[in-house]
Formats: sequence, structure tokens, C-alpha cells
Amino acid sequence: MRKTHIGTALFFIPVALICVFWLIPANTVPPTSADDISPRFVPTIAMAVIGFYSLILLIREWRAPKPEDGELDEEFGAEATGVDARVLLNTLILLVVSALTWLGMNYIGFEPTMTVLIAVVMYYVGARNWLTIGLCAVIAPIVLSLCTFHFFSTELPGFWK
Amino acid sequence: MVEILPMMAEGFQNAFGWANMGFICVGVTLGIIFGVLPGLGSVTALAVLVPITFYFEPLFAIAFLVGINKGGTSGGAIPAILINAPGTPEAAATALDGYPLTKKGKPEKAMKTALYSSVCGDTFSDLVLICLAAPIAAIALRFGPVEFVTIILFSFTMIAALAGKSLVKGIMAAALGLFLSMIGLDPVDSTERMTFGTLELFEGISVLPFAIGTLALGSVISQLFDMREKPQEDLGEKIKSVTNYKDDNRLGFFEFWGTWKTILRSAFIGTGIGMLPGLGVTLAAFLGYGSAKKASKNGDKFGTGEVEGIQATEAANSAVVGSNLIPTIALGIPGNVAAAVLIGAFIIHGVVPGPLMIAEHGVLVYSIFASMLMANVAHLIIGRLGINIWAQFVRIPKAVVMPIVILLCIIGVFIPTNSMFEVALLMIFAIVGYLMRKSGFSIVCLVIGFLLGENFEIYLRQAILMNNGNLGVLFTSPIAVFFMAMTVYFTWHFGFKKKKPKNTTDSQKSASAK
Amino acid sequence: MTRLDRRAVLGATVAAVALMGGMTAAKAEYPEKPVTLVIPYKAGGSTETMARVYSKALAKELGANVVVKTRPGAGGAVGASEVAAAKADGYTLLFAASTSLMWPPLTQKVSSDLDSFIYVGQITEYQQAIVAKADAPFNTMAELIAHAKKNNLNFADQSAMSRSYINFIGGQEGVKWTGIPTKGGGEMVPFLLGGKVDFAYSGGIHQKYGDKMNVLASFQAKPLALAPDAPALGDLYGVSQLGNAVMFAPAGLPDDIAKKLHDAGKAALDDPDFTKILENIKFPKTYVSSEGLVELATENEKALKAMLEATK
Repeated sequence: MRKTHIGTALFFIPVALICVFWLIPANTVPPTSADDISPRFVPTIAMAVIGFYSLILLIREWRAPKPEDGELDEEFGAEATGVDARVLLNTLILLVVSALTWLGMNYIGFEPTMTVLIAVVMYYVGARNWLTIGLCAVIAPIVLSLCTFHFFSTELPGFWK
Repeated sequence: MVEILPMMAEGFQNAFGWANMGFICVGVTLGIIFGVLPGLGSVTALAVLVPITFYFEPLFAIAFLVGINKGGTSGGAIPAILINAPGTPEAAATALDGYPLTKKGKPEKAMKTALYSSVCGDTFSDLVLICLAAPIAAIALRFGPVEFVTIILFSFTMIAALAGKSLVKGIMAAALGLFLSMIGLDPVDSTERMTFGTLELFEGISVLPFAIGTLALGSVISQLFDMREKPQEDLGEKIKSVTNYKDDNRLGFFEFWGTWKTILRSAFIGTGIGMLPGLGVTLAAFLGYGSAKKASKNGDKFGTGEVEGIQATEAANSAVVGSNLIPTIALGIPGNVAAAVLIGAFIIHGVVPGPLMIAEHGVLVYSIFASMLMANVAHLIIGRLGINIWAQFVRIPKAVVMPIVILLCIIGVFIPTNSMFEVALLMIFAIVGYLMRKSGFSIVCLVIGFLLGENFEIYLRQAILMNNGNLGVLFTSPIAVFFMAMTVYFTWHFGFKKKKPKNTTDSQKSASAK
Repeated sequence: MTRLDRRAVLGATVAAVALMGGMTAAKAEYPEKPVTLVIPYKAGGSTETMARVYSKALAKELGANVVVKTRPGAGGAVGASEVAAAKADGYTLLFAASTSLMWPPLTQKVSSDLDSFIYVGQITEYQQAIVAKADAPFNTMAELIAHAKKNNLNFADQSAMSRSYINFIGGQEGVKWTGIPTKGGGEMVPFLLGGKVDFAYSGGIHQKYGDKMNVLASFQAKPLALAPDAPALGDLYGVSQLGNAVMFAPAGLPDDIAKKLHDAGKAALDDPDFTKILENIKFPKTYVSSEGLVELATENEKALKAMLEATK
């Protein structure tokens, strides 16, 4: 976790600086009424808090690294492993798959894209029973799409629709 | 009072018909199903089904919708418990203790706790509505921006309770949520803020893709990667092999009622939040959980599968359902989004909620009240039967369930807006959620910061504008002063009070988190 | 890609092609497929509910299914932009308040304006008004102005547009008051009844409160159908907000389709279900044909621009 904290802090300190000194002023407009607080006020405070606490996180990890005592995260338990090379690789995979899914759903259509997605995901996590994969991948998107159309009168994207 | 009784009798009589009972049962069932499906939930369900009810009788329509609202609010707990993917943001805290119970092979116990707590909270708040609607609504009118600012300030101290030992990280997550909630048109001047000219961002980042992405989809993705990387113990297999499954999943009378104080406290919090327009179900859930964590002697064990943690959340979020009709029926003001949709439904049936409603439609109002109580009974029975069905889902391999949940998340976000932009937001926030999970930054705090941020700013600015730039008013309203004092007390309590001699300040306290 | 995956994709493609073929079978008279009615607001509001019931009536008249699609965002501009960009073939229509199309182009960069659309017809009028609490120290517009000259007043608005109007009036009368932004009628009502603001803009919600609220003036060109005694801003100050729900189609619609839509849209107004819902939500049925609307809108846009100039 120590590396993760240092990494996060090193990421958020510049982000906070950029936001406070450039992004927020450049993308907001000063208030029209003298009694009003500025539209910049709350976003700037939020970013300043992030920057300030990143600094604290950094300093603390730098000066007094606590020994890894094996205590689990309160909210996520063993899931919070810290961000390492493996997690970063997963994030990259996630980005690519998300982008492809979005493009596929938008330009080709919901059903074909999701058929591919389900099959890929099931294979990826270790399913090797082709009948199960095939049935899930073909039936689930079509059934869900039909339900969406009939119960919610919402048409999911598809180039043929 | 005397003239109310015959009206009440007639109203109750009208409600106890087979047809009305049928509509309530169908409504509760649909609500639970909508709540269970991640990405949908009671608001979507209500919005989608209101136009259908136009063709029903007024009482049936409203009873049906009330049933949906009740079922939907508790249904969200089921995916939170079974697959750690809260179907609605208000069930986020349910997952904290519910999912660990499932991993211990006690999914049914967790679901029973959630259901019974929901029904308790709901019934409590219905009774408050029925008995005290008029006087309470008068109190609600005294709440204005000044009072709301202080309530939200107070709620921010709950972040400390929820973040626990990683306080610094919790505050960072909440600040990020606050920042994200500021994107969109400025609420006062309607000028753009961090929108980069994107039309879809003018009304801000929608709650749905934000909450479903970080809470549900992020969790699903994280689990999928874990399944790939290390051979998981299959929960289904595990549960099948547990010999004392039945005993493990029994929820004893004293086990549930031993913590009646928690249920009552949460029901009280939920009812209070519900009667104030504009605060919302999710806040109630987090306040319920946070206060129980601090007040209970088991508080330190919250997050490891404590029945009390589920009770605290579910009793609070369901208690909103009844009491948000207090401002609706007494003043015609929606308590939250779900109540706003209900108002729409009332109106298309020619019943105008508001001060005239009890005078003009007294019998109907009491029929609705009776239907609400009946819906609680229906909820208990249908929900209990449902648990037997949902429990079977744990036995289906995760490799089959999870991909379908991904699809449901996408569809759930797409339905209300027909927008691929929202789908893109969903995916971005799922990645954010995944990274936060791995790095131990509290998603619950992020969501609170996001949900409270927008309201905090608008109430603050309204308060300042109303008083011509003078903030002294924060110290003149007694309600505001009360919440300011609470805020100060809790900040002191969480931040500086020594629990163990070693942890003298909050920063050191969080340092003990690795 | 493995064998089975390929088969799955193939299957889906075949199904897709088959579906597509079925839909573009033969060219027949409009409408030959479902018409999409876009509502640029969130589901559950009164305009959306109205549009859903209206869509059923319109479907009967057109003889084709009408699918309602909510596309909220940017106060209506997201949905409007989508319809403006759609093919002008009569299969994509917009049901919205005309101000949702008029106001954004004047103040923000959006890709559509009123010229991107043609009017099919006005369905109803919102009952917009300036309202005050019944026990307020003023009961008419004139008394409000007199009171404001001596006191510091707050008012609740619901959008930058409604605030501009009220500030414009203040400017004309030489009084200064403070606009408090609210997120709609649901927030305005407790502010007004709880005494947090002195008067308010109402989009029609005041009708639910009977004698607890007073209509001081109509926000529109003419006095409101349901509060005929209160003067109209149009008569008092020459400015008014066009408060109507209109059905639009993208510009460039062929004339024969436009005529068919026009007739069907008008006939659908007499549907009993739709009549009942308008009665219940207390909206008057005020049909205005497309020619009449063009006139109204141009006039209003001119006034709006002049007002924006004056309050700058």
C-alpha cells in the first residue's frame, strides 16, 4: 500500500495544482451578483483539499512508513491489494475493452457487441464449456434487448433498427 | 378529530379489497425485481410505469406505485448482498456487511436481516406519516436553505465514521466527489463550469452512471479480474458443501431484535431525512450506517459481516419511503425524486397533493394510508418468498452471472436517457471504481461527496443570497445552531477524542491503516 | 476467435439482416413504421406524462405506433439537438416547451435553434405566473412594486430566463430585488409558503395551492385562462414568456407529410383520454396551428433579445 499511496499523492498533487490555478479559473465565469459566492469557490476548495491531503499522505509515507501489519482495508477487505503492475495492466485492458464495447454498441449495435463481450469475458475468467458460453452469449443480449423494448419502450442501438 | 374517523373507516374499507390487494402485490413484486436488477431501481421503475397506471382506477394506481416504491427500495439490497454489486446507491452500505456474510455461506441470513429491517423502518415511517403528517409538515416548512446547509455540513462529518481508520483517504475521496458534482451549469448564473462545451454535461454528471459505475460495475469488474488471477472458491460449490447451511442461515429472534436500538435509531433517521424535501434516500442510508458504527459496541466489527450493519442501513433507507410522502401529502412538495414521480401520478388521476388534498379527497388519502400498511405486509411475505429464489442465484457460477450483470448495468443507465454519453460515463466511473477498490480509497465517501456536494453548494448560495451576503443567519436560526453544534461536537468526537492512548490525532489514527 | 464465437456472431448477423430486410420492404405511404416522439425532459414530469398520453392519441390518428423517447439534458437542448440532426422524414418529432428551443441558442453555444425546426402545432399552454403567499402585504402587481420600493425583497426563480424577466421588470420600475435560484416548483413552494422568499415565478404549480397563493400577474402575453383577473406582463411591460407545449419536426419536412402530421396532431387533441389528463393537470387545451406559431415565436424571440440586451 505504501507505493500506492505515494503514487496517488504524486498523481493528485499536480492534478490539484493544475485544477486550482488553471482548469477551474479557465472554465468558470465570475459571479454576476456581489452577494453571491463565486462559482469557483466550492470546486477550488474541493481540489485544494485533495492537494493538501495528498501532501499529508506523501509526507507521512515518506517519513514514517508503517510496517505492513496485514490489517485489511475496512471497506474492501482483501480486495484492496494496492495498485501494482498487474492492476495497471488490468486497467489498460479495461480501457481497451470499454472503448471497443462503446464503439461497437454505438456503431454496430447492442446485440452483436454484447454477444462478443459476454463470450470474451466468460472465456477470460476461465469458462471453457462452449455450450454454456454460446448459450449465454447469444440468448442474454437478445432477451434483454427484447425486454427493454417491450417493458420500457426503449430501443437499444443497432444499425438495422 | 371526530369527522376524521368515519372518513378513515371508509378509506380503510375501500383499501381492503381483493383487487387493491392484487395491485399492491404486483407492485411490490415488480418493485423488488426492479430493485434487484442493478442499474434499474425504484425511480426508474416508477417513472416508466406511471403512464401505464393512467388507465387504472386512482386508488389502484397509487397503491400499485406505492408498492413499487417499497419493493424497489429494499430490492437493491439483494445484489449488494449476493454479488457485492449494489443495485442502487442507497444499498451501498448494505454490501459492506452483507457480502461478507454471503462469503461466510450465510446469504439467506443477510437477506432476511435486510428484508425485516426494511419492513420495520418502512412501517415506522408509515405510522409517523399517518398519525403526524400535518403537524410534521408544518415543521418541515421551517427548514430553508440555512437549515439545510447545516444539515449537510453535519452529514459531512459522517465521512469520518465511514472512512474509519483511513480518514485522510476518505476525505480525499469525498473531495473528489464534491468536485465532480460541481461540473455542469452553475446553479445561480447558468454559466458553464468545467463542461468544455459538452451539451450533455450542462446538467452535471448524472447520478445513475456515476453510482452504478463506481459501486456496481466497478465491483463486478474487480471480481472478474480476481477470478482470472487466482482460482476462486466457488461460492455456489461452497454453499452446496456446507452441511449446516440451514442452521447457519437461521436468523434468531433475539439475534435480530437484540439490536432493536439500532433499528429504531435508523428508522428515526430515515423518517427525519425523508420528511425534509431534497435530501434523499442515500443520505439516510449512510447516516444510519455511520451513526450505528459509532454508537454500537460492535461498531469496530462493522464491515466483517455484522447483522447490525445491515439493519442500520436498510431500516434507514426504507424509512424514507413513507415519510417522504409527508411533505407530498401535506404540502404537495416532493420529498425526493421518487415522490416527485408519485406526485405526477397523483395529478394525472385528478388528485392534487397538497394542503387541499385531505379536505377534497379524504377517503382516498386514508385508503392510500391503509394500502401502505397492507403493502408492508405484502412486502414481508413476498420478500420472504423471494429470498428462497434469490438464494438459488448464488449457486449459479459467477462466470455466468457477472457478464449478464454488466449488460444490466449498461441497459439500466441507457433506459432513462437513451444516451450513449451516459454509457461512456458509466464505463469511465467503473474504471475509477476499480482503481479505488484496489487502492483502498473509500467509494462510499466518494458517493456521499458527490450526492451532497451539489446540494451543499446550492443551499449555501441560496442562504447567502437571501440574506444579502450575510452569513450571520447561520447562528440565528435555532435549527441551524443545533446542527452546527452537532457538527462541532462530532468533528471533535471523530477527530480529536482519544480512543486508544497511542492514536492521539486523526492523522496518526489513519496512519495505522497500511 | 474460436469456432463457436464465430458461429454466434454469424447467427446474430443473419438475424440482423433478416430484421433489416423486413423493415425496408416496400415504400408505402407515411407512416409505414413507428414514429419516435422525443421528449427532452426527465421521465415523470407533467410534460412527459402529457406527451405519453398524447402519443397514444396521435398513434390512433396516424395509424402507426408512436414511441416516446426521453432524452433529457441541458434544459431540453440535448433532445432538441438530436431531433434537429435527425432525418426530416416525419419519423422523429419533438414535444417540448418552445422556450426550451428559444432560450439556449441565445445564451449558450448549442447546435440547434428555432430555425432548425418547423412547428406541427401547439398543444397546450403552461400557466406561468408571478405568485405570492396569500397573506403577503401585497395583493397585486402594483402593490408589489410599491412594497419593493420600500423593502428589500427576494424572489424565487426557476431558471436564468425567469430571473431575467423579473429583473427586467425591476429595472423598468426602478426597484432592485434578489433572485434566489430554485430547482423547480417543488423547491419554490416551501420557500414561498415558509416565508423564505417574498414572491416567486411559478410554472403552474400554484394552481395546486388554491387560496394559499395569489397570482399577481400572468407571465405570458395574455392573462391566464385560470386566473383572468391578474394582468399580464405582456400588457404591462411589453415582454412575456411564450409558455406553450409544442410539437416540432426537423426543418425540411416534405409538405405532404407535414400536412398529415398537422391534421393528425390537431385531431389527436380531442382524444377523450388526453382531454381527461389535461383537465386533471389543469392545463387548458389551446391549439395553435403552425402558421400562428411562427408569428408568435418570432415576436417573442424579438422581445426576448431586447430584454436580454436591457438587462445586460
